[in-house]
Amino acid sequence: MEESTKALKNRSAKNVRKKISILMPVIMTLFAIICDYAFEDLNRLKKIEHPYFIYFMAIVGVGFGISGVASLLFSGYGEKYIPKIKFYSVMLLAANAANLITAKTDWLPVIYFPSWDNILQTYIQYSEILTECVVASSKLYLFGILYGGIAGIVLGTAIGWSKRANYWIFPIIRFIGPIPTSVWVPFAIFVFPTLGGASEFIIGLSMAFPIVVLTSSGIQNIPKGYFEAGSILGADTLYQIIHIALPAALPQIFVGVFNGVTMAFMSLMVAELIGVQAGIGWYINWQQKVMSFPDVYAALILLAFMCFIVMKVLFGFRKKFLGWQEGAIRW
Amino acid sequence: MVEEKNCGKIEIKNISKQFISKDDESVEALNHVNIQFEAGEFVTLIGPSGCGKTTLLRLLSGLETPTSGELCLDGNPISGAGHEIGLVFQEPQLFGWKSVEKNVAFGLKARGIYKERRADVQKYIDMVGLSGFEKSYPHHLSGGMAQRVSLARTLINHPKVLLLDEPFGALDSFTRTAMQKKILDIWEEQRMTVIMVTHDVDEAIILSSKIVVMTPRPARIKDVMANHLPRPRNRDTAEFIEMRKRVFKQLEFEF
Repeated sequence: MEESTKALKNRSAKNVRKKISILMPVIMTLFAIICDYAFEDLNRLKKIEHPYFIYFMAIVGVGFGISGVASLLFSGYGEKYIPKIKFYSVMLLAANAANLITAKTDWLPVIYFPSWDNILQTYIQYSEILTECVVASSKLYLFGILYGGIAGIVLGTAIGWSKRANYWIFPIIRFIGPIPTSVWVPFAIFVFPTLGGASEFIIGLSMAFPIVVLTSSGIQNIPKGYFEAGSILGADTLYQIIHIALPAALPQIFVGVFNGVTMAFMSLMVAELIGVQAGIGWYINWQQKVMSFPDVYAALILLAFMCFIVMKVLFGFRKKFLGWQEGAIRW
Repeated sequence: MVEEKNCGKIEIKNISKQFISKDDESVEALNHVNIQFEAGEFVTLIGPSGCGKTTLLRLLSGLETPTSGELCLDGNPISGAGHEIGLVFQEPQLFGWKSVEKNVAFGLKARGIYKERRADVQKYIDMVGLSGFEKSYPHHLSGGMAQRVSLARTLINHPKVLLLDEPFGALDSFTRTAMQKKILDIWEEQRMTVIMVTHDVDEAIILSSKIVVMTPRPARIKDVMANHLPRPRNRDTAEFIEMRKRVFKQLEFEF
């Protein structure tokens, strides 16, 4: 009798603890808001028009509140959300600490360590120009990786499939591939009629190199038996390349694409040095020169978001097309 | 169904095959092999490892070319791999990114005849006893099931000649017995020429009407034994046991 009441008490205590822990991120945002009110701003940089940090935390808090409720109502959502609560809570605590240190103390040089308010203010004040920059960079980036990706896969397939192509082309690729992108800038400007084309070339180059290497290696590592089976079943060479070689090499090609999009992001800054009119890299370069670091950080965060979205899409593709690997590769 | 009657005749004329090994030495896989198989025969090749059985199958399939001699299908020299001579490998070699039905349909799609023969995909999946597994992926299947898919995807192309390279070697004995019966059923219905490599003497006697015993070093045909046991064949009859004795006698070699 005693045992079962104890078990019941334990279970209800666990339930209460669970409900509180779901609210933890919201509690953290409230805590951050209270801390911001409690201490005086030193305002060592620009004057802050509005308490942006408090607004931001309020919005984030409401967002987490809704997530919390959703996770209690929909167990499917709950399974994804609840394990991450600890992480979100600690990150919010860290953001809070960063706010206190940068806005309320003079422990760090204010030029290089602006407060959240400064950064958020940049978003509000320069929203138009930042939007233009994001759009311009996105266009440049997406076209660059499209051309680079296609070139990479075609070239990689040729090198992987044909011994002759391998003999002539691969040593050249191996030689020029690792050359840093900034070295290519004068060449690109000379060859391409428009500066926009030259910028896309830089991005495309960074995207293509890892893809060529990994596509060709992927194709060369396909067991010969697949192609023998294909011949016996009546497939000609072109059909085999498209329907056997490429799908079989897809896991390796994917690693190449993953490396490629990352390298392409890193070369965005270099590409935009060539002479674009707007862009995240261009903006960061400009703001760095005038030592306006809140703007630099604001733009960097936007860059990180763009990267995050690209990764999400990429891994979405992976789930759809490489689902058959079923946990054979865990990364 | 094999499209025309009486096709699938195989002539192996004085075939020799040499491989150059890594240390530039010449390895003779086959030495002046001469034999003929009539259309619709069920033949087994039996012999110890290294006597060229797999090489012979690969030459017949067109995947390799002989060093000397000629191979003919219905009077025409075999000049490359194609769907008319199907080969089922020891390893299923299924395309891991395609489901069972897409694997089986591969030959039809590759040859551009998928639209007309769409219904055959299900028919052949059922024929090998894999109904219900159409959407499964190869990594979900056991060895025996994968081998059955490999069989279906080769048969759907209506080959005149079916080459089987120890297809049931990796299976447990229960699955093997079931597959032997399946192969017989399919052969009795479609009557293509079947040439099967096996290590299992009982399997050879159960299935084939002609047993070809091969020897290693030099790799050639030692004996061709006709098997006229009435079908369906039973392992426990006196005639079967007698046949088994005869085959084992031929397989005795000095090591």
